[in-house]
Amino acid sequence: MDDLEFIRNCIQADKHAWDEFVQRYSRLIYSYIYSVLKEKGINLDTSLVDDLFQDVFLHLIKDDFKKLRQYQGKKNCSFAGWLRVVVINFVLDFLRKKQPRCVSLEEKLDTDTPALKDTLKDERFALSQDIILDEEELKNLSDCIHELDSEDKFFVEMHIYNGMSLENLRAILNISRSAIDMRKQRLIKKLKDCFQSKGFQLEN
Amino acid sequence: MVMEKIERIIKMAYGFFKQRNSQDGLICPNEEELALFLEAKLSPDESKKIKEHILKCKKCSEVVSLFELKQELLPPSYLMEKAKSLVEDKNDIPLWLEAVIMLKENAFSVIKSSADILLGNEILPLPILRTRKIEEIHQPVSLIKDIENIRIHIEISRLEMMKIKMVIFIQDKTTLQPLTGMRLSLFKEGVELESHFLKEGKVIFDELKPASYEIEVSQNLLNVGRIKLDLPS
Repeated sequence: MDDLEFIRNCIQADKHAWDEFVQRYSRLIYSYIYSVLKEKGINLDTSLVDDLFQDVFLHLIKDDFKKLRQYQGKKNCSFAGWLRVVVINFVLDFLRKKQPRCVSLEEKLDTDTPALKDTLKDERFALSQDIILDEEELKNLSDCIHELDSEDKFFVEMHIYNGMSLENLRAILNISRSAIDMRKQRLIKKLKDCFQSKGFQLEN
Repeated sequence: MVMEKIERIIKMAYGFFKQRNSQDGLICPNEEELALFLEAKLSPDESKKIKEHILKCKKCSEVVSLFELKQELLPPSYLMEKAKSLVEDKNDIPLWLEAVIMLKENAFSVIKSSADILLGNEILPLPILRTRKIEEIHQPVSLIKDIENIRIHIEISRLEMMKIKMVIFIQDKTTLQPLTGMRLSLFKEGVELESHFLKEGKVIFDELKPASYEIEVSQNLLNVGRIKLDLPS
Protein backbone atom coordinates (compact mmCIF):
# COMPACT_ATOMS: atom_id res chain seq x y z
CA MET A 1 0.00 0.00 0.00
CA ASP A 2 1.49 3.38 -0.93
CA ASP A 3 1.34 6.52 1.23
CA LEU A 4 -1.64 8.00 -0.61
CA GLU A 5 -3.70 4.83 -0.35
CA PHE A 6 -2.91 4.57 3.35
CA ILE A 7 -3.89 8.20 3.98
CA ARG A 8 -7.14 7.67 2.03
CA ASN A 9 -8.02 4.86 4.41
CA CYS A 10 -7.36 7.15 7.36
CA ILE A 11 -9.59 9.86 5.87
CA GLN A 12 -12.48 7.39 5.76
CA ALA A 13 -12.20 7.25 9.53
CA ASP A 14 -11.07 3.65 9.29
CA LYS A 15 -10.23 3.04 12.94
CA HIS A 16 -7.62 0.40 12.16
CA ALA A 17 -5.85 2.69 9.66
CA TRP A 18 -5.96 5.59 12.13
CA ASP A 19 -4.36 3.55 14.92
CA GLU A 20 -1.65 2.55 12.45
CA PHE A 21 -1.24 6.22 11.46
CA VAL A 22 -0.67 7.25 15.09
CA GLN A 23 1.77 4.36 15.54
CA ARG A 24 3.73 5.26 12.39
CA TYR A 25 3.97 9.03 12.68
CA SER A 26 3.99 9.79 16.43
CA ARG A 27 7.77 9.73 16.61
CA LEU A 28 8.11 12.17 13.71
CA ILE A 29 5.48 14.57 15.08
CA TYR A 30 6.80 14.51 18.64
CA SER A 31 10.43 14.92 17.53
CA TYR A 32 9.68 17.92 15.31
CA ILE A 33 7.59 19.69 17.95
CA TYR A 34 10.42 19.25 20.43
CA SER A 35 13.07 20.27 17.91
CA VAL A 36 11.28 23.45 16.72
CA LEU A 37 10.59 24.62 20.29
CA LYS A 38 14.20 23.96 21.21
CA GLU A 39 15.59 25.80 18.17
CA LYS A 40 13.31 28.74 18.96
CA GLY A 41 14.66 28.85 22.51
CA ILE A 42 11.35 28.01 24.17
CA ASN A 43 11.40 26.65 27.67
CA LEU A 44 10.73 22.97 27.13
CA ASP A 45 8.24 21.89 29.71
CA THR A 46 6.73 18.58 28.74
CA SER A 47 3.12 19.71 29.10
CA LEU A 48 3.61 22.17 26.22
CA VAL A 49 5.10 19.44 24.00
CA ASP A 50 2.28 17.06 25.02
CA ASP A 51 -0.45 19.63 24.29
CA LEU A 52 1.01 20.48 20.90
CA PHE A 53 1.27 16.76 20.12
CA GLN A 54 -2.50 16.33 20.59
CA ASP A 55 -3.19 19.60 18.78
CA VAL A 56 -1.28 18.46 15.68
CA PHE A 57 -3.46 15.33 15.41
CA LEU A 58 -6.60 17.43 15.90
CA HIS A 59 -5.35 19.88 13.27
CA LEU A 60 -5.00 16.97 10.81
CA ILE A 61 -8.47 15.50 11.38
CA LYS A 62 -10.75 18.44 12.18
CA ASP A 63 -13.43 19.49 9.67
CA ASP A 64 -13.60 16.00 8.25
CA PHE A 65 -9.82 15.55 7.83
CA LYS A 66 -9.50 18.85 5.94
CA LYS A 67 -5.75 19.14 6.52
CA LEU A 68 -4.96 15.48 5.85
CA ARG A 69 -6.91 15.71 2.59
CA GLN A 70 -4.47 18.36 1.36
CA TYR A 71 -1.79 15.71 0.95
CA GLN A 72 -1.96 14.70 -2.71
CA GLY A 73 1.23 12.69 -3.10
CA LYS A 74 2.08 14.60 -6.29
CA LYS A 75 5.45 13.89 -7.93
CA ASN A 76 5.88 11.10 -5.44
CA CYS A 77 6.01 13.47 -2.47
CA SER A 78 6.41 11.27 0.59
CA PHE A 79 3.81 11.63 3.30
CA ALA A 80 6.50 11.92 5.98
CA GLY A 81 8.08 14.84 4.07
CA TRP A 82 4.72 16.62 3.84
CA LEU A 83 3.94 15.96 7.50
CA ARG A 84 7.30 17.43 8.60
CA VAL A 85 6.49 20.73 6.89
CA VAL A 86 2.97 20.71 8.36
CA VAL A 87 4.25 20.13 11.90
CA ILE A 88 6.95 22.83 11.62
CA ASN A 89 4.37 25.32 10.28
CA PHE A 90 1.92 24.39 13.00
CA VAL A 91 4.41 24.98 15.83
CA LEU A 92 5.65 28.24 14.27
CA ASP A 93 2.05 29.47 13.91
CA PHE A 94 1.44 28.59 17.54
CA LEU A 95 4.52 30.58 18.59
CA ARG A 96 3.49 33.56 16.44
CA LYS A 97 0.03 33.64 18.00
CA LYS A 98 1.43 33.49 21.52
CA GLN A 99 1.91 36.85 23.19
CA PRO A 100 5.51 37.96 22.81
CA ARG A 101 7.25 37.11 26.03
CA CYS A 102 9.56 39.59 27.69
CA VAL A 103 13.01 38.11 28.10
CA SER A 104 15.59 39.83 30.20
CA LEU A 105 18.98 40.32 28.62
CA GLU A 106 20.59 38.40 31.48
CA GLU A 107 18.18 35.46 31.42
CA LYS A 108 19.39 32.17 30.05
CA LEU A 109 16.55 30.39 28.27
CA ASP A 110 18.05 26.99 28.89
CA THR A 111 21.50 25.57 29.40
CA ASP A 112 22.22 25.20 25.69
CA THR A 113 21.42 28.74 24.59
CA PRO A 114 23.41 31.73 25.70
CA ALA A 115 21.79 34.72 27.35
CA LEU A 116 20.31 37.21 24.92
CA LYS A 117 23.02 39.80 25.55
CA ASP A 118 25.65 37.30 24.35
CA THR A 119 23.58 36.41 21.33
CA LEU A 120 23.24 40.06 20.41
CA LYS A 121 26.94 40.55 20.91
CA ASP A 122 28.33 37.94 18.56
CA GLU A 123 25.48 36.85 16.37
CA ARG A 124 23.66 38.26 13.37
CA PHE A 125 23.64 41.99 13.70
CA ALA A 126 25.91 42.99 16.46
CA LEU A 127 29.57 43.06 17.09
CA SER A 128 31.81 40.51 18.69
CA GLN A 129 34.97 41.39 20.49
CA ASP A 130 37.28 40.66 17.55
CA ILE A 131 35.08 41.95 14.74
CA ILE A 132 34.10 45.58 14.76
CA LEU A 133 32.08 46.79 11.82
CA ASP A 134 30.31 50.07 11.46
CA GLU A 135 27.17 50.42 9.37
CA GLU A 136 29.08 51.79 6.38
CA GLU A 137 31.36 48.74 6.36
CA LEU A 138 28.42 46.37 6.73
CA LYS A 139 26.71 48.05 3.81
CA ASN A 140 29.83 47.61 1.67
CA LEU A 141 30.10 43.94 2.61
CA SER A 142 26.41 43.34 1.98
CA ASP A 143 26.98 44.67 -1.56
CA CYS A 144 29.17 41.59 -2.07
CA ILE A 145 26.24 39.42 -0.96
CA HIS A 146 23.97 41.30 -3.34
CA GLU A 147 26.24 40.40 -6.26
CA LEU A 148 25.96 36.65 -5.62
CA ASP A 149 23.62 34.60 -7.79
CA SER A 150 20.58 33.03 -6.14
CA GLU A 151 22.24 29.59 -5.80
CA ASP A 152 25.09 31.11 -3.80
CA LYS A 153 22.77 33.31 -1.77
CA PHE A 154 20.71 30.25 -0.93
CA PHE A 155 23.84 28.46 0.26
CA VAL A 156 24.81 31.41 2.50
CA GLU A 157 21.28 31.76 3.85
CA MET A 158 20.90 28.09 4.74
CA HIS A 159 24.37 27.08 5.86
CA ILE A 160 26.03 30.22 7.20
CA TYR A 161 23.06 32.34 8.26
CA ASN A 162 20.62 29.65 9.45
CA GLY A 163 23.26 27.11 10.48
CA MET A 164 21.97 24.17 8.44
CA SER A 165 24.52 21.35 8.28
CA LEU A 166 26.31 20.73 4.98
CA GLU A 167 25.02 17.16 5.04
CA ASN A 168 21.40 18.30 5.16
CA LEU A 169 21.91 21.03 2.58
CA ARG A 170 23.67 18.52 0.33
CA ALA A 171 20.55 16.30 0.43
CA ILE A 172 18.23 19.22 -0.41
CA LEU A 173 20.43 20.33 -3.30
CA ASN A 174 20.90 16.72 -4.38
CA ILE A 175 24.67 17.03 -4.87
CA SER A 176 27.61 15.01 -3.55
CA ARG A 177 29.44 15.77 -0.35
CA SER A 178 32.62 16.71 -2.22
CA ALA A 179 30.64 19.01 -4.53
CA ILE A 180 29.16 20.89 -1.61
CA ASP A 181 32.53 21.19 0.16
CA MET A 182 33.95 22.62 -3.05
CA ARG A 183 31.06 25.03 -3.42
CA LYS A 184 31.64 26.29 0.10
CA GLN A 185 35.37 26.87 -0.48
CA ARG A 186 34.74 28.62 -3.79
CA LEU A 187 32.02 30.81 -2.27
CA ILE A 188 34.09 31.85 0.72
CA LYS A 189 37.01 32.72 -1.55
CA LYS A 190 34.71 34.75 -3.79
CA LEU A 191 33.35 36.70 -0.83
CA LYS A 192 36.80 37.12 0.73
CA ASP A 193 38.08 38.61 -2.53
CA CYS A 194 35.07 40.87 -2.79
CA PHE A 195 35.40 42.03 0.84
CA GLN A 196 39.07 42.84 0.22
CA SER A 197 38.23 44.72 -2.95
CA LYS A 198 35.95 46.90 -0.83
CA GLY A 199 38.98 47.72 1.29
CA PHE A 200 38.13 45.35 4.14
CA GLN A 201 41.27 43.91 5.74
CA LEU A 202 41.04 40.27 6.75
CA GLU A 203 43.97 39.49 9.03
CA ASN A 204 44.05 35.97 10.48
CA MET B 1 31.78 23.97 16.31
CA VAL B 2 33.40 27.35 16.35
CA MET B 3 32.60 29.30 13.26
CA GLU B 4 35.55 30.68 11.41
CA LYS B 5 35.97 34.42 11.55
CA ILE B 6 35.28 34.86 7.82
CA GLU B 7 32.02 32.93 8.21
CA ARG B 8 30.98 35.18 11.08
CA ILE B 9 31.64 38.24 8.96
CA ILE B 10 29.63 36.72 6.08
CA LYS B 11 26.81 35.98 8.53
CA MET B 12 26.75 39.61 9.71
CA ALA B 13 26.86 40.95 6.16
CA TYR B 14 24.10 38.52 5.16
CA GLY B 15 21.95 39.58 8.12
CA PHE B 16 22.35 43.21 7.05
CA PHE B 17 21.51 42.31 3.44
CA LYS B 18 18.50 40.18 4.44
CA GLN B 19 16.98 42.86 6.65
CA ARG B 20 16.78 45.06 3.58
CA ASN B 21 15.69 42.42 1.10
CA SER B 22 12.93 40.49 2.86
CA GLN B 23 9.37 41.07 1.75
CA ASP B 24 6.05 40.57 3.47
CA GLY B 25 2.81 39.35 1.96
CA LEU B 26 4.36 36.97 -0.55
CA ILE B 27 2.39 34.00 -1.85
CA CYS B 28 4.14 31.00 -0.37
CA PRO B 29 4.45 27.55 -1.93
CA ASN B 30 2.08 25.04 -0.32
CA GLU B 31 3.31 22.39 2.09
CA GLU B 32 3.57 19.71 -0.56
CA GLU B 33 5.67 21.91 -2.85
CA LEU B 34 8.00 22.78 0.00
CA ALA B 35 8.27 19.10 0.96
CA LEU B 36 9.07 18.16 -2.66
CA PHE B 37 11.76 20.85 -2.69
CA LEU B 38 13.27 19.51 0.53
CA GLU B 39 13.23 15.98 -0.87
CA ALA B 40 14.98 17.20 -4.06
CA LYS B 41 12.09 15.96 -6.22
CA LEU B 42 11.47 19.15 -8.22
CA SER B 43 12.85 20.02 -11.64
CA PRO B 44 15.80 22.46 -11.65
CA ASP B 45 13.47 25.28 -12.77
CA GLU B 46 10.85 24.60 -10.09
CA SER B 47 13.57 24.25 -7.49
CA LYS B 48 15.13 27.57 -8.53
CA LYS B 49 11.77 29.34 -8.11
CA ILE B 50 11.41 27.98 -4.58
CA LYS B 51 14.98 29.01 -3.69
CA GLU B 52 14.33 32.54 -4.93
CA HIS B 53 11.13 32.66 -2.91
CA ILE B 54 12.89 31.46 0.24
CA LEU B 55 15.52 34.19 -0.15
CA LYS B 56 12.77 36.82 0.05
CA CYS B 57 10.41 35.13 2.50
CA LYS B 58 11.39 34.97 6.17
CA LYS B 59 8.60 32.53 6.96
CA CYS B 60 9.58 29.87 4.41
CA SER B 61 13.27 30.32 5.18
CA GLU B 62 12.48 29.60 8.80
CA VAL B 63 10.49 26.46 7.93
CA VAL B 64 13.28 25.11 5.72
CA SER B 65 15.96 25.87 8.30
CA LEU B 66 14.02 23.88 10.91
CA PHE B 67 13.75 20.82 8.68
CA GLU B 68 16.92 19.28 10.05
CA LEU B 69 16.17 16.97 12.94
CA LYS B 70 18.98 16.59 15.44
CA GLN B 71 17.33 14.14 17.77
CA GLU B 72 14.54 11.56 17.46
CA LEU B 73 12.19 11.17 20.38
CA LEU B 74 9.43 8.69 21.06
CA PRO B 75 6.35 10.15 22.76
CA PRO B 76 5.05 8.46 25.92
CA SER B 77 2.55 5.69 25.13
CA TYR B 78 -0.36 7.35 26.96
CA LEU B 79 -0.13 10.28 24.52
CA MET B 80 -0.28 7.91 21.57
CA GLU B 81 -3.32 6.16 23.03
CA LYS B 82 -5.00 9.56 23.47
CA ALA B 83 -4.27 10.43 19.83
CA LYS B 84 -5.67 7.07 18.69
CA SER B 85 -8.90 7.72 20.56
CA LEU B 86 -9.50 10.87 18.48
CA VAL B 87 -10.95 8.69 15.72
CA GLU B 88 -13.71 6.39 16.88
CA ASP B 89 -14.44 2.94 15.63
CA LYS B 90 -17.17 2.93 13.00
CA ASN B 91 -18.55 -0.26 14.49
CA ASP B 92 -19.27 1.71 17.66
CA ILE B 93 -21.71 3.92 15.73
CA PRO B 94 -25.16 2.31 15.87
CA LEU B 95 -26.46 0.81 12.65
CA TRP B 96 -29.88 2.42 12.27
CA LEU B 97 -31.10 0.72 9.19
CA GLU B 98 -29.94 -1.89 6.74
CA ALA B 99 -31.60 -2.83 3.47
CA VAL B 100 -30.92 -4.68 0.24
CA ILE B 101 -33.04 -3.62 -2.72
CA MET B 102 -32.89 -5.13 -6.17
CA LEU B 103 -33.69 -2.89 -9.11
CA LYS B 104 -35.65 -4.62 -11.84
CA GLU B 105 -36.79 -3.59 -15.30
CA ASN B 106 -39.69 -1.47 -14.04
CA ALA B 107 -39.88 -2.35 -10.40
CA PHE B 108 -38.10 -2.89 -7.05
CA SER B 109 -37.74 -6.01 -5.07
CA VAL B 110 -36.94 -5.72 -1.37
CA ILE B 111 -34.53 -8.57 -0.62
CA LYS B 112 -33.73 -7.62 2.95
CA SER B 113 -34.79 -4.79 5.23
CA SER B 114 -34.49 -4.01 8.91
CA ALA B 115 -36.98 -1.18 8.31
CA ASP B 116 -40.69 -1.39 7.60
CA ILE B 117 -41.96 -0.69 4.10
CA LEU B 118 -44.57 1.94 3.36
CA LEU B 119 -47.09 0.62 0.91
CA GLY B 120 -50.03 2.90 0.17
CA ASN B 121 -51.04 4.02 3.62
CA GLU B 122 -49.81 0.90 5.33
CA ILE B 123 -46.48 0.43 7.04
CA LEU B 124 -45.57 -3.23 6.72
CA PRO B 125 -42.67 -5.31 7.92
CA LEU B 126 -40.95 -7.32 5.19
CA PRO B 127 -42.30 -10.75 6.33
CA ILE B 128 -45.92 -9.48 6.00
CA LEU B 129 -45.11 -8.26 2.51
CA ARG B 130 -43.81 -11.74 1.71
CA THR B 131 -46.90 -13.49 3.05
CA ARG B 132 -48.99 -11.25 0.82
CA LYS B 133 -46.79 -12.39 -2.08
CA ILE B 134 -45.83 -8.85 -2.99
CA GLU B 135 -42.55 -9.58 -4.75
CA GLU B 136 -42.35 -6.58 -7.04
CA ILE B 137 -43.17 -3.00 -6.15
CA HIS B 138 -43.89 -0.66 -9.02
CA GLN B 139 -44.07 2.70 -7.27
CA PRO B 140 -41.37 4.53 -5.30
CA VAL B 141 -40.60 2.58 -2.16
CA SER B 142 -40.28 4.06 1.33
CA LEU B 143 -38.41 2.47 4.22
CA ILE B 144 -39.39 3.61 7.69
CA LYS B 145 -37.71 2.93 10.97
CA ASP B 146 -37.97 4.48 14.43
CA ILE B 147 -34.89 4.59 16.63
CA GLU B 148 -35.72 5.82 20.12
CA ASN B 149 -37.22 9.27 19.49
CA ILE B 150 -36.03 9.56 15.86
CA ARG B 151 -37.89 8.57 12.72
CA ILE B 152 -35.82 7.69 9.65
CA HIS B 153 -37.70 7.67 6.39
CA ILE B 154 -35.94 6.82 3.12
CA GLU B 155 -37.80 7.28 -0.13
CA ILE B 156 -36.27 5.49 -3.09
CA SER B 157 -37.49 6.16 -6.60
CA ARG B 158 -36.29 4.65 -9.79
CA LEU B 159 -34.93 6.94 -12.49
CA GLU B 160 -34.22 5.79 -16.04
CA MET B 161 -30.91 4.06 -16.94
CA MET B 162 -30.71 2.02 -13.72
CA LYS B 163 -30.29 5.06 -11.53
CA ILE B 164 -32.12 5.86 -8.35
CA LYS B 165 -32.96 8.93 -6.32
CA MET B 166 -32.86 8.66 -2.56
CA VAL B 167 -34.54 11.18 -0.26
CA ILE B 168 -33.78 10.79 3.43
CA PHE B 169 -36.00 12.39 6.06
CA ILE B 170 -34.91 12.49 9.68
CA GLN B 171 -37.57 13.68 12.08
CA ASP B 172 -38.65 13.69 15.66
CA LYS B 173 -40.80 10.54 16.00
CA THR B 174 -43.73 12.18 17.75
CA THR B 175 -43.84 15.71 16.32
CA LEU B 176 -42.42 14.75 12.88
CA GLN B 177 -40.42 17.98 13.01
CA PRO B 178 -36.96 17.90 11.36
CA LEU B 179 -34.06 17.52 13.77
CA THR B 180 -31.46 20.28 13.89
CA GLY B 181 -27.68 20.09 13.40
CA MET B 182 -27.92 16.85 11.39
CA ARG B 183 -25.38 16.15 8.65
CA LEU B 184 -25.59 13.19 6.29
CA SER B 185 -22.54 11.88 4.46
CA LEU B 186 -22.90 9.41 1.63
CA PHE B 187 -20.21 6.77 1.10
CA LYS B 188 -20.03 4.47 -1.92
CA GLU B 189 -17.87 1.42 -1.31
CA GLY B 190 -16.00 3.28 1.44
CA VAL B 191 -15.40 6.51 -0.51
CA GLU B 192 -17.22 9.65 0.61
CA LEU B 193 -19.25 11.10 -2.26
CA GLU B 194 -21.35 13.86 -0.74
CA SER B 195 -22.17 15.42 2.57
CA HIS B 196 -25.15 17.70 3.29
CA PHE B 197 -26.91 19.32 6.18
CA LEU B 198 -30.50 18.32 6.71
CA LYS B 199 -32.54 21.03 5.02
CA GLU B 200 -36.29 21.26 5.53
CA GLY B 201 -36.09 17.89 7.21
CA LYS B 202 -34.55 16.07 4.24
CA VAL B 203 -31.43 15.37 2.22
CA ILE B 204 -31.56 14.27 -1.43
CA PHE B 205 -28.99 12.02 -3.07
CA ASP B 206 -29.59 11.92 -6.79
CA GLU B 207 -28.66 9.66 -9.72
CA LEU B 208 -27.16 6.80 -7.74
CA LYS B 209 -26.15 3.70 -9.65
CA PRO B 210 -26.37 0.18 -8.22
CA ALA B 211 -23.64 -0.20 -5.56
CA SER B 212 -23.16 -0.58 -1.81
CA TYR B 213 -23.88 2.67 0.00
CA GLU B 214 -23.44 3.76 3.59
CA ILE B 215 -24.84 6.99 5.00
CA GLU B 216 -23.27 8.40 8.13
CA VAL B 217 -25.44 10.66 10.21
CA SER B 218 -23.77 13.13 12.53
CA GLN B 219 -25.31 15.67 14.85
CA ASN B 220 -23.24 18.61 16.05
CA LEU B 221 -20.05 16.91 14.77
CA LEU B 222 -20.71 13.63 16.60
CA ASN B 223 -21.54 10.50 14.64
CA VAL B 224 -24.92 9.30 15.84
CA GLY B 225 -25.94 6.59 13.42
CA ARG B 226 -25.39 4.92 10.06
CA ILE B 227 -27.56 3.49 7.33
CA LYS B 228 -26.48 0.69 4.98
CA LEU B 229 -28.16 0.36 1.64
CA ASP B 230 -27.16 -2.27 -0.85
CA LEU B 231 -28.38 -1.99 -4.45
CA PRO B 232 -27.04 -5.09 -6.22
CA SER B 233 -26.73 -4.73 -9.97
